[in-house]
Amino acid sequence: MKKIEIIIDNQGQTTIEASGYQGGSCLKATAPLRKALIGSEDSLVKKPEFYQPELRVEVTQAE
Amino acid sequence: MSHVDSGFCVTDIESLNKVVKAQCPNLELVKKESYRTWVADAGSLVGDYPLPWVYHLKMFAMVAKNVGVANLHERAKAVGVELPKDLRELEKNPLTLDQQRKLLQDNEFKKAYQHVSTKVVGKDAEFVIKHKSNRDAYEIGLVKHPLRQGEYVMMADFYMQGRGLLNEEGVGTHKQVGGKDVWGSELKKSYSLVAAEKQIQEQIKAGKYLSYTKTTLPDGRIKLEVTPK
Repeated sequence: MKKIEIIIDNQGQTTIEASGYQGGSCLKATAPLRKALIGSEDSLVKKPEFYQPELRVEVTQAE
Repeated sequence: MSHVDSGFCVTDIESLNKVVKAQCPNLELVKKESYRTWVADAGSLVGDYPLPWVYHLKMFAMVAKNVGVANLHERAKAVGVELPKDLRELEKNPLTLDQQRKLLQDNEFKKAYQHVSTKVVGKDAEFVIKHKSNRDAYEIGLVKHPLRQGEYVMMADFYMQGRGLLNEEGVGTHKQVGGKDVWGSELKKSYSLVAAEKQIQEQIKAGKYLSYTKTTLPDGRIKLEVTPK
């Protein structure tokens, strides 16, 4: 299940963690939050799932 | 003494204004260029604390203009300071007081330091959080981030609790946490929460997120859990 967790520490610093994603789709899902809360992309930590290919589901219509 | 310090970035002035109004009854956020620090009374910084990285960058821009970008690193190296190849690194790894002192042995760096610490610090904000009636209190400046558009770096002189500013309700006093100077924690924490919830609600409206929950953890941190679509 996809989930985005934001932790705000007692000094106001924010960390954002996305789970349940594969590949770079987590970046798209968290982009508005990262832009608003962290600003810099420098602090981005990519988890191992980032480097896994995104799952693609092909749907074909039955004849 | 003069302890101007930075380290917190703000991207949403509207949310910050909302927080100041809600929890700091004696303060107000205004559009203003100058923010009060030790420099306002003494004319310059004492130099017992390193400049915030934003001002080091401004200093280096001045030196580079005079001696050329290529010579900047060489000059620093000649006085024993290895500057990062990419000066943007200074945001994460700011210079120490010892490195700053070494740099000031070079005339170009010294000139730039003197200019920045007397003519730029405290005069380059776009918004300011100020006390409504106490004119002696220092002020929090929101200085444009030198590298990222739409972002501001929060600056304050925490000497004597910013002459009372940091003791005000809803701000958060200066203290040392894990060897680091920390100030304005209550204000910063509330800002992050308001800015995060605003963004989440916008995304829910836009149909990109479904819902979210908010939990205060036993150590006071706040956890927001978002369920995306």
